[in-house]
Amino acid sequence: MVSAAETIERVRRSRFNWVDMFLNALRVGAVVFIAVGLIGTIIKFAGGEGPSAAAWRDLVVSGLAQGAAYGLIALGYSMVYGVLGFINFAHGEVFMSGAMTSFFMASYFFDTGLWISNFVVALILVILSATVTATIVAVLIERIAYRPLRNAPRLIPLITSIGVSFFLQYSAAFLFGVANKSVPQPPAWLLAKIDLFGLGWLKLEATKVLVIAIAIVSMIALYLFVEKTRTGRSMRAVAEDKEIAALMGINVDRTIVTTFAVGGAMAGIAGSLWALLFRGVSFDTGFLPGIKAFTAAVLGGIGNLAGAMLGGVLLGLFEGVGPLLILDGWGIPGVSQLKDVVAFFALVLVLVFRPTGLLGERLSEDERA
Amino acid sequence: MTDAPPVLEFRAVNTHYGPVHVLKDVDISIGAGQIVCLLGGNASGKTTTLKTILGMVTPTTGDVVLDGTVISGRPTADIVGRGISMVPENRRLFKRMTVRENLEIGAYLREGSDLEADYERIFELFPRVKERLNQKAGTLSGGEQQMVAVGRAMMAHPKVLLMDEPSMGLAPVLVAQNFEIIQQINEAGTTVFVVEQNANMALSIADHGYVLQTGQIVLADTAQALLANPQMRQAYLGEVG
Amino acid sequence: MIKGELNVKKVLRAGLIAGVVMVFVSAIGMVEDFDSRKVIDPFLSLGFLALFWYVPRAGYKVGHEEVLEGMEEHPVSSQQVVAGLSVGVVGGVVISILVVIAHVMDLRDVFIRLSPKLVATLTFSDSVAEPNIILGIVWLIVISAVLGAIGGALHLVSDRLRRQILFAVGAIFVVAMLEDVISQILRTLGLGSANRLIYRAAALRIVPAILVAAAGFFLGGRDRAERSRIARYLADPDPAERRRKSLIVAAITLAVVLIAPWLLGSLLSEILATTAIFLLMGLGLNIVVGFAGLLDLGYVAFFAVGAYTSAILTSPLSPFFAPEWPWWYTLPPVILVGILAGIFVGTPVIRLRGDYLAIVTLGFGEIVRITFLSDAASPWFGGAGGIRNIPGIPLGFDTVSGSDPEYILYFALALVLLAAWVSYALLNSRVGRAWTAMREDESVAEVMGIDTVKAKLSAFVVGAVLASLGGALFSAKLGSIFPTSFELLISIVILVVVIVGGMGNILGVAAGALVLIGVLGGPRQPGLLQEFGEFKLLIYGVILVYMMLQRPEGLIPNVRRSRELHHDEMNQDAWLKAQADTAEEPAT
Repeated sequence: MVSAAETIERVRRSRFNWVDMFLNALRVGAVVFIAVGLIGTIIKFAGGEGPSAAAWRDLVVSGLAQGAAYGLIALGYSMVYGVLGFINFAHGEVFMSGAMTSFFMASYFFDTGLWISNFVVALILVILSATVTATIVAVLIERIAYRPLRNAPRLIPLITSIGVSFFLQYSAAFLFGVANKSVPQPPAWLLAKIDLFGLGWLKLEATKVLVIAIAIVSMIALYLFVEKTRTGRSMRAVAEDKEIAALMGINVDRTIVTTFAVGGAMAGIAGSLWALLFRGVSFDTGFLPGIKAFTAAVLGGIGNLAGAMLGGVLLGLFEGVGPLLILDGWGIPGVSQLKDVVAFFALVLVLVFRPTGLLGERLSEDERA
Repeated sequence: MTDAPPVLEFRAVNTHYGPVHVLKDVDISIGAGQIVCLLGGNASGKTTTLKTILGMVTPTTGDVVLDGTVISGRPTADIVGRGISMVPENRRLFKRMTVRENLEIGAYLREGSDLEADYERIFELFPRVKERLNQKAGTLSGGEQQMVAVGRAMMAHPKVLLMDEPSMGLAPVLVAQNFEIIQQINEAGTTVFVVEQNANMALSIADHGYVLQTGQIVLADTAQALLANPQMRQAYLGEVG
Repeated sequence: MIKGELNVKKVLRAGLIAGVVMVFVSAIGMVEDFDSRKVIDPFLSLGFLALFWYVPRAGYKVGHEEVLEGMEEHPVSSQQVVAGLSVGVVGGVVISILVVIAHVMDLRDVFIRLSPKLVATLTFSDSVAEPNIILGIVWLIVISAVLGAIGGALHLVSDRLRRQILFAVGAIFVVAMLEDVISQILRTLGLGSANRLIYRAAALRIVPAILVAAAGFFLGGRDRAERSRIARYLADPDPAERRRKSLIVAAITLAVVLIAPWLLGSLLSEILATTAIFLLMGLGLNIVVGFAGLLDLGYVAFFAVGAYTSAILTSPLSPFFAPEWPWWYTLPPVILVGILAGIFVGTPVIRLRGDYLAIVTLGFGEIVRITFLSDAASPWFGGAGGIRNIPGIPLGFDTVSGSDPEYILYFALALVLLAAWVSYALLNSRVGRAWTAMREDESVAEVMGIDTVKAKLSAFVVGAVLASLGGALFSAKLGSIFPTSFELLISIVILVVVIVGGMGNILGVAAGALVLIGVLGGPRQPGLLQEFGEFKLLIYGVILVYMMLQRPEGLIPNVRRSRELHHDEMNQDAWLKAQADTAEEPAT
C-alpha cells in the first residue's frame, strides 16, 4: 500500500521534471558561457592582446573598492530583511542621501578652503555628515512608511518601499536639481598611485585604498557593535525571534529602529565613499547600486552580515573584472556597457540557483519558510 | 485560599481573539513563594493565560495584578521589567547565539550588574550548561536546551517564573529532573507558575492547582486536594472508571 | 481631545507637519510652477492650492479622535476650531521661516528652487526685487490660520454638510482642471462661444465657479445610496446578474469611449490612446499580479520584445533583417515571442518566494533593456539609436500611424477588450480557481492536486502575450522605438495602476489607468493635467505609499482580496457587533 505522502511526493517530482530540466539547461548554459569566455580571454592574453596586467590589477582594485561600497550598502538590506522580512527598496535612496550630503559638504569645504588646507579633517566631516543624514532618513522612513505595516503581508511593505524610493528620488531631483553634481577633486596625493606594500609592481590608486580601508574599519566597527554590545545583542535577538526577545525585556520597536539606523549609517558611509570614488552624484545615484547591493546581500546569504560584506566584495570584483574576463573572451564589443548586465545576471543566477546564498540565510523565526 | 499575600492575580479576566471568547472570567491567585500549576488539555486557554500575564494579550475585561499593581495593558518589556520571566514552550532559545549569550540576554534588563554570581548559581543547578557555554544553543539536545531556557529565565532574577509546558517533548527521566529543579528554584525564593498538561508531575510539586477547561476555571484547590479529587483522577490523572 | 484642554503637543506636531508640507511643496518648485495656472480667475491659483491644501486637512485631523472600541465619541466643541486655527498658525510660522531664510540667504547652491521669485510668490508681492516680507508673512500666517480653523470647524457640522462642502470644493477643482476637455467638447459640439462664459485664461470665472460649487453641494447632499447608484447597481449578490450588469455598464462605457475621440480632438485623443495602451498592459499585469499573485517588476520586458519584434519585421531600416512585412503579419510572431518570453521568464522563478520573484523579474527587465541598448547587440536591435521608420498599420485605404490617434485608440481599445475578455474567461475557469487557491496558500493548493507550475506559467504567458501585443501597437504608433522607452519606470507605473485600481479587479484597473495615466500621464507621456507633468513621478510615489498605508485593496476593491487583507479588522468588527447585540457566545 502506497501512503498518501509518498503519492504526493511522486506526483510533485514528476510534475517538476521539465522545470528542473529547464533549470539544469540554464545552469549548464551559464557554466559553458563563462568557461568559453574565460578560455577566450586566456587565449587573447597569451596572444598578447587584451588588457595588460596593470590594467587587470587596476580593474581588480576598482572592483574591490566598489565592492566595499556595495558591501556597506548590502548590510542595511540584510539587516532589515533579517528582522522584518522584506526588501527595503528605499535603501538605495538612503545611500543616495549620504552621497548627496557628501557632495554638498565637500563643495562647501572646497569653497571655504578646508578641502585643500586640511583635507583629512574635511573628509572626516564629510563622512560624518553623510552618515548622520542617511541615518536620519532611514529612521524617518521606518517611522512613517513601514511601522504602520508591521503586521501586513510582506509584499505590502515591499511595494510601499518602491513608492518611498520613487518619492525620495524625485524629491531629490526637484529639490536639488537633476543635473549631475561633480564632487571636487581630492588633493593630488590622493589621486596618485602609492606603493602600499613596498612591492614594486603593486601600485594602487590611493583613493581606492582609502575607500577600502574606511570600509574595512566600518565593517569591523559594525561587527564589534553587533557581537559585543548590549544593543547589538538585542538586535540579534530581535532578528532571530521577536516574541522571545520581547520576553527578555527588549523593546522590540526601538530595536527595529536601531536596526534601520545602523543600516542607514553604513549606507551613509558608503555614500561618501562613492562620492569620493566616482566624483559624481545625482538623484538616481541610488538606484543601480541599490539593486546591486541587494544582489550582494542575497549572494552572501540574506540576514547574514558577514555574508553581506562578502557578497558585496565578490559582486564588485565580478562586476569590475567579469565583462573583460568573460564577455571580452567571446569577442563582444563594448563590454563596459554590459557591466550592469553582469550584475543583473549574477542576481538572477544567485536567486534561482542558490537563494540561500553563500554563507546561508539568517532569517527570523517567523520568516523561515 | 492562601495565607501568603498574592504576588500575582487574575481578577475576573476575559480575553478574546477576534470574535472568539478565549478566557472566561478567570480568577487566579498565586501567593508569594508558592508553586502554582495551571492544568488543562489542548486549546483550554493555557497559553493565552501566560500571554495575558506577559502583556502579549490584553484582557477585554478584568485585571492582571502583580504585587498590588495592575499590569494588564502594559507593554511586555515593562511587565518583564517588573519581575516576571517565562520559560517558553519548546524552549525557544536563540539558536544562533551561544549558550552564554542566551544567558546574557536573559539578564538584558539587569546588564551592568555583576552577573558572575548568577552564572555560578545556574552552573550549580545545571552543570552541563557550563560545559556547553560557548556552543551555539541550536546544537544542544532537548534536555540541555530546557536547562538553558530555565537558566536564561532565571538570569533576570524574576519574582515570578512562568513555565509553559516544561515537560513537553522531553523524555520522562528528564521531566522528573526538570520538576526537581523547579522545586529547587522555588526553595531559593522564586514563585513559580507552571502551565502543564502532565497533571501528575505538576501536582506532585505544586502547592495549589487550577484546572482550565475551554477558558474557564473548573477546579481550584490545594494540590493534595486535587490529587484526591475523583473528577480529577478520572479526567486528568489517568485513572480508569 | 478633552473638553477644556488644548493638546499642545498634538497641535504642535500637526502644525509642524503642515508647515513641512508647505516648505516641501515650495522647495520642489511646485508653488512657482503651478502659480501660472489659475483655478478660479483671477484670484485662486493652482500654486496657492498646492501650497495650502494640507492645512485644512491638518486642522481637521487634529480634532479627529479615533473611535476606539468601547469609547464614546468626544463631543464636538469650539475647541476643535481653536485647535485647527493653532495648527494653521504653527504651519504659517514654519513657512514664514522659510520665506525669511530664502530672502536673507541664497541657498540655491543646495535648494535650487529657493529663488527670490519664490519669495515674491509666497509673499504675494508684485515686485521680485522688493518683496513685502512682513506683509507677506502676515498674510501667510493669517491664511493658514483661517484654513486650519476651517478644517477644525468641519467637525462642527453634520456629516452630510461636511460631505457637501467637500463635494463643492471638489467640483470646482475638477471642472477647473478639466478645462481642456470641457472646452474642447463644447467646441466640437458647436458651443465654442460658451467657453468664454465659463472660462477665462483656462480658469473658471467667478460666477460659473459659484454655480459649479452649488451643483457639487447639491450632489453631495444626496443620499449615499443614491450617489453610488452605479456601485449599488453593480453590487448585485447574484454573480450571474452581477456579470450581466457589469457587461451593460462596460458596454455603455465603451460606447462613450468610442465617440470620445471625435468630441475631444486629436490632442486629447492622443492622451486617451496612451491611456488605452497602458490599460492594456495594466490588464495583462493584473493577471500576473492580481490573479496569480506574482509580483512581476519586469513586465516592461514583454512590452519591449513585442515592440522590437514588430519593429524589426516592419521597418525598412531594421539593421539585421528587414522583411518589411505589413503590421498584421507581425502579429503571430509577436504572440509567439510573447509566449516564449513568458516561458523563459516564468520558469526560473516558479519556485521563488514573493519578494525574490519580484527582484528577479526586475533583473530580467533590466537585462532586456540593457541588451537592446548595448552596442554589442546593435547589429540586430539598433543600439541606442533604436529602430526607426516603422510604418503604421495598413488598412487598405489608409495607414494608421501616430498621427491618427483616434484610430490608434480604437485599435488599443480592441486589444483592451480582448484583454478584458481573456481576463474574465480565465478568472472563471479552472486556471482562475487554481490561482485563487494558490494565492490563499500555495502548499495547500499543491497538496490538493493543483498544478502550480502550470498555473504560474499560464499567468506569465498570458500576461506576456498581452504586453507583446501592446508593444506591437506601440511600435506602429510611435514610428520609432528606443531602448529608453522600456525602462523599469514603466513596469512600476503599470504596477501602480494595477494596485490603485484594486488588484484583481478589471474595472478597477480601467479606473486606475484613466485616473493615473489619463490625468497625470505616463512616465514619458503627457497627461491631461500638463502642469503636473513634471511632478507626476513624485506624485506616483506618494500615491503608492498612501495606498499601501490606507487601503491595500485599491480604488475598487475586489471583494475576496479585501476580505483577506482586513481579516483582523473584520474580526474586531464582528466582535463589536456581537457585543452590541449581547448575544450568547457559542462555546469554543
